[in-house]
Amino acid sequence: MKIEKLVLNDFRCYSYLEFSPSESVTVLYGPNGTGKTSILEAIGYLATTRSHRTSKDSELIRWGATGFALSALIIKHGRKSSIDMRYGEGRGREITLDGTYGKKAGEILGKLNAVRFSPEDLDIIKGGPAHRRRFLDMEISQITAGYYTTLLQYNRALLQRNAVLKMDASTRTRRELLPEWDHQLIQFGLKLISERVSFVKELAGYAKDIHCRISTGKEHLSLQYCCSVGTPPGADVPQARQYEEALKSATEEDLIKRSTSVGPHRDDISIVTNGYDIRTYGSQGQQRTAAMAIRIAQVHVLETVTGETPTLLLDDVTSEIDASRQEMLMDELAGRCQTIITCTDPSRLRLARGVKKSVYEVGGGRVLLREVSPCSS
Amino acid sequence: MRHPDPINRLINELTKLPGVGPKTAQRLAYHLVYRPAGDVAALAAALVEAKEKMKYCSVCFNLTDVDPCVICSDRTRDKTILCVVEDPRDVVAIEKVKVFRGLYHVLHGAISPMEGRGPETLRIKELLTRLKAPEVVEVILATSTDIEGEATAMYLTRLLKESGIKITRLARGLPVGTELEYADEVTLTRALEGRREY
Repeated sequence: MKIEKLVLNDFRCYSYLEFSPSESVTVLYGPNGTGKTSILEAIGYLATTRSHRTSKDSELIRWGATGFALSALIIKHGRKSSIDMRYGEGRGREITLDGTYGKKAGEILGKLNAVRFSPEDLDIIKGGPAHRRRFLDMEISQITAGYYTTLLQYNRALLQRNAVLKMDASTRTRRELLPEWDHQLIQFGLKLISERVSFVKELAGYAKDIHCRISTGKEHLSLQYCCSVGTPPGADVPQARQYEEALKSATEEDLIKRSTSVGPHRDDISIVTNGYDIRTYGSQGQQRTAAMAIRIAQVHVLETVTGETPTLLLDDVTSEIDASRQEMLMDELAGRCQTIITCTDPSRLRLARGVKKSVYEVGGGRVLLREVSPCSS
Repeated sequence: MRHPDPINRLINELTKLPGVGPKTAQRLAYHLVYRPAGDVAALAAALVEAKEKMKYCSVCFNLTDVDPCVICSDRTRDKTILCVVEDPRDVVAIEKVKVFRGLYHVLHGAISPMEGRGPETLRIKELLTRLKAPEVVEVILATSTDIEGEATAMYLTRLLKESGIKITRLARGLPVGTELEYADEVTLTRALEGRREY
């Protein structure tokens, strides 16, 4: 998949920007705060219908304007397709896909496939379980139709169950009202778990190989989905009866704590290298390498599922990653996918030989082409 | 400039209506002022009359101006089947089809703890009393298919399990007259699960 054209209107610091990324590598450079990341943010917004920097769409509007519009022309499986999203104060969000107006967020997930590499990727390793669940949910929503809807349904049922637990009523009354919500939690929860388990399994396969190459065979990375419901011996996904038992046996505690303690909203991924939990025992460098391996693995999973390479967004990776890891990252991916890189100093960028690149200077709400070349350094 | 006070009061009242925002309320308010006095009086009278005359049917709890309502007092209707719905508008929708000849029971909502609506806030107790009558053999659960409607249907099923009354739920699946390829995944899954011999 390639992004052919990108248009930003009253988005962040841009009043109007029309930008055609190169088919291979595009470098955006300029000092901090000039709007490099905003371009990646716009692509991410079109891909996932939300910004990675804020949950409030109103914050994305250019200062003084009343709304923003983003659109992208993409080529996927040899066919052109267009996505247009606009947001206005008081009007909310409107999505147009291939000229058809009034699409829902769930319908455009997965149309534009992008993978973002950024210094915050480290949170997947170091952050709390919520970070990892968010990572899973965002990525699976992009590749599995219906996952997003199931997630919304699960969350709704969970809110209802928790509302029962929080009710100002006797334990007995509250317990009486649980079965209907339990039933629906199981129904939607099992779907979430099984999608997540198969995604993690696929991701783990690629991540293991990639990590082995990056660490030159010294380290073995393994990822595993940890289900709070528990799993029967020899299987990865719990059975409905087991889920029911787990909810039941946690009920007394749930009634006291007034929240639901088992289910996919409490699950996690274990990340282990050479038998040690990398979160607690890994060095900063090891954690960064693992985070990168997981992101690269995600590119492979997307490629397998969609049959197309996603667009890579490398946000400020040069500042955080040392030269040798940069080279490995480029070796793994450069030249295969459309890649957009932001950095403050383009001379510090290490690209593989012969990779075509277009270099743009970003500043003052504009993007200026400075160099087009096969990379010879 | 601010609106004159009478217009302001009217806008304030109109914005309390569902689906009416400040802009629409403003348009409606000025429109009403332009209308002939007779039209406006007729609207006001209709509002007051509707509020005064409409009450709940003492049998099915549908909104009605005569008690019992026209459906409950219709002797040709089948008293052995009861269709349970969330809202009076659902009764109108099903009646339009003219296929169902049984009676209704309106719950006035669905169970939603988030909004403080437990089973006791719905007309469930009244439903149970009605079902004690020996002539009822089937209850159709026609609550909506969202999380809350499902929970309500499940709750009723749990309550009625031991009564020996046949409990059915409206079928879910493909909308009539659509092409298969346009059905979303959830609908298609439900349609497959609910398939039947042909």
